[in-house]
Amino acid sequence: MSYYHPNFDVRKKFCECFLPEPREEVYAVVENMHNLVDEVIMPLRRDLDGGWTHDQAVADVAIATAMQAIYDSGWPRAILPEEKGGLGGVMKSMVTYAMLIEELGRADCGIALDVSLLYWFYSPMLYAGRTDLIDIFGPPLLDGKHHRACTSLTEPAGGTNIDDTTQHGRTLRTIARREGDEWVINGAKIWPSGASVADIGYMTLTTTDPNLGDDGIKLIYVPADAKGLSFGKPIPTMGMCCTDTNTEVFYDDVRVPVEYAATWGTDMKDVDLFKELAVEDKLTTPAYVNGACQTVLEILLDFSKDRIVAGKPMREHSVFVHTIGGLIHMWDYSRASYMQGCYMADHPEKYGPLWGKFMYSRAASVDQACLMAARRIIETAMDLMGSYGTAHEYHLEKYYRDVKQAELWLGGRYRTQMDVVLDYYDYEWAGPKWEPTPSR
Amino acid sequence: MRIVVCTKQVPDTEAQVKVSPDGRSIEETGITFIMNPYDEFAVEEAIQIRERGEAGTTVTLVTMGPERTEEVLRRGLAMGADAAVRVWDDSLAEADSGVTAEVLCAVARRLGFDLILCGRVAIDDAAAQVGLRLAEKLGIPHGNAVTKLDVEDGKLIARCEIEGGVEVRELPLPALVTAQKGLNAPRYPAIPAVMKARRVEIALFSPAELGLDQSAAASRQSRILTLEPPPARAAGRMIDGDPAEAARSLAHLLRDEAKVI
Ligand SMILES: Cc1cc2nc3c(=O)[nH]c(=O)nc-3n(C[C@H](O)[C@H](O)[C@H](O)COP(=O)(O)OP(=O)(O)OC[C@H]3O[C@@H](n4cnc5c(N)ncnc54)[C@H](O)[C@@H]3O)c2cc1C
Repeated sequence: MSYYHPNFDVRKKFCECFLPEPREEVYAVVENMHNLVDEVIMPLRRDLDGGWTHDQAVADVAIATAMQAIYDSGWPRAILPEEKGGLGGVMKSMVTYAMLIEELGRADCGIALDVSLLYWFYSPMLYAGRTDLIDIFGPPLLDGKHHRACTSLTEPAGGTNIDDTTQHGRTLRTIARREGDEWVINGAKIWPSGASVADIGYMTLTTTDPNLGDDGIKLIYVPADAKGLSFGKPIPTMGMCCTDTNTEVFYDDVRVPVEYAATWGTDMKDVDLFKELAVEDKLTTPAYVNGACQTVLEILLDFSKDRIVAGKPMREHSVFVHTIGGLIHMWDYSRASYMQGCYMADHPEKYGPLWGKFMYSRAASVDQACLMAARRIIETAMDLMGSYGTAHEYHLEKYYRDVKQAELWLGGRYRTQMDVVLDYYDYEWAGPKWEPTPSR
Repeated sequence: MRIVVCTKQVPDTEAQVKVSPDGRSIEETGITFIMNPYDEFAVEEAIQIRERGEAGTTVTLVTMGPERTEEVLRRGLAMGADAAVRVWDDSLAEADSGVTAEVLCAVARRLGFDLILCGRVAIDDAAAQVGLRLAEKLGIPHGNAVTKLDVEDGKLIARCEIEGGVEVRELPLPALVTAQKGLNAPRYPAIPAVMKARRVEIALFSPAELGLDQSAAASRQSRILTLEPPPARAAGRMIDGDPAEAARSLAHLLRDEAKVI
């Protein structure tokens, strides 16, 4: 990056009041990741996309290098509790996680997603205090090699409805049937990130009976090598086109032990863990999208310094000063918004559990604020840069594609906006009644 | 083996350095400070020697500077150093290379050492003086601008860059080596190590505690009178005219004015 501005420094951009103690330790950890991103991952950006032709073989080499550097940093193991090999301390905080993820997002949203997927996979078992499940699924995080996990939620019939808590799981069609000491899972998913390449497992959203609503919901951990689990072909997508793999996932009489349900043996509800997962995702996707925006601003500041318009640098014309100022303030407030949300998540004693209405609504609001800001920042940067913005060489088009893609998951814009009101007034929809298929 | 590594905190290579209103120092606000990149090679080398060498080898970092310079020590600790020492009081605020070498000499004697590693040059003042002066004061041999270092039977084999070539030197221990780019690839500290390094107690010495007389040192010390940024680059010159004519004027300018051809 040729542009350098001290206001993009870690210590300036991350507001100290949100950080867990000891703050100096958080800064040190994040600065370390910042440098690693600049020196190892930034130079790989083009290859992470497989170049202009999106050649997966080229991308795979770059992904392996980037991910290995992240695993060498010892970060992924921080997900685990200390007694299981985790790092504890400031690394338990969602704020620290978001700050680290933002640093990755500066280089590549897909790489940030790869790490996030690990967090999402493990979080239900962690919230449920399931040390037995951690013993089964946790060890890959300790061997220092690149592993992937998958959170398998979205279904072919109405993906967004699955995430809609006001439909209480009534549209779910992946059914978990209890047979003795096992769950037998049948159904299909589409779009999960990491599908077909995840080797740790598939955390699968199911229901025992859609008509039971929330009470039927079960989050079940399915080992990657489970019999009856199969996949469609990777679906070529616009953004994160090589770093993320999305496929259909088919469950044909997939059998797993009953205790692989996230809340088994606890008095927690799976629906709460599902909401917790959505909140965690909605608070931290904004972080890497915000990181992407930082790079976009750097590209724009650099470009507009040298681009001469009507005899002087573009960024010295009042109209552009005004526009660039607007983009910087959007970038700034979206960071403040997600940092505040993550701080609240770190303090359930004040703001309630992640699955409570307040946090659910707050997370949706943060997600909307940040993703809307990100889209405007990137689109406007492209408007200002004209055709140069679309040129592969400037990287901007890659961030444009990646950020749009990130905006779509977990309900997308229209549905997430509906979640925002949940803490202000109640609304419900009646999902369609489910008739089991007799042949099953 | 006791290895001491001297590290200095310097402004980030990308920082836009400005002279402060007193005209004798740089404006520190808004500047990010980093470990001198050549010192990073020195720290990395020390850790590698410990990793492949005899049991009981220790790596101790030393810096001279105000409290903010502890950041470089913590970075070195996160890379794998065992301990760190900082020397400071306000009498050192204007220390030149000679005084710095005296201070480091006193610390090295206090700590005890078999090998001292320094960066070849600090990128802020680019004086390239301290390492060599330190060797001189300690009365030990040195290898300068080293790109390969082996420790064998109590001596060092150092590949030193010299003007236009390479010199391989054998140095009996104790000795001092200054690290040149290419010596190794400094590691990224892992997060657990970064966290641990924050909790290490850093020893602080004043010059007096090291038995140094600063008033005497001040009388031998050179002083910065003014700092000036390099002259601003002149604007580029556009050459008009048809291509043949423009090429002729360009050749003329390059030969007779710029004198580069
Ligand atoms: C890059 C990427 C990664 C993904 N990763 C994962 C993953 O890891 N795991 C996973 O399970 N899924 C994943 N998804 C899937 C994603 O969560 C869904 O695509 C998303 O929820 C939208 O579902 P859909 O595509 O079926 O669209 P639809 O549900 O058909 O929605 C289309 C449009 O209609 C609107 N809409 C639909 N229903 C409603 C409603 N009830 N109320 C209001 N508006 C509505 C939506 O907001 C949207 O605008 C990923 C998707 C992408 C693009």
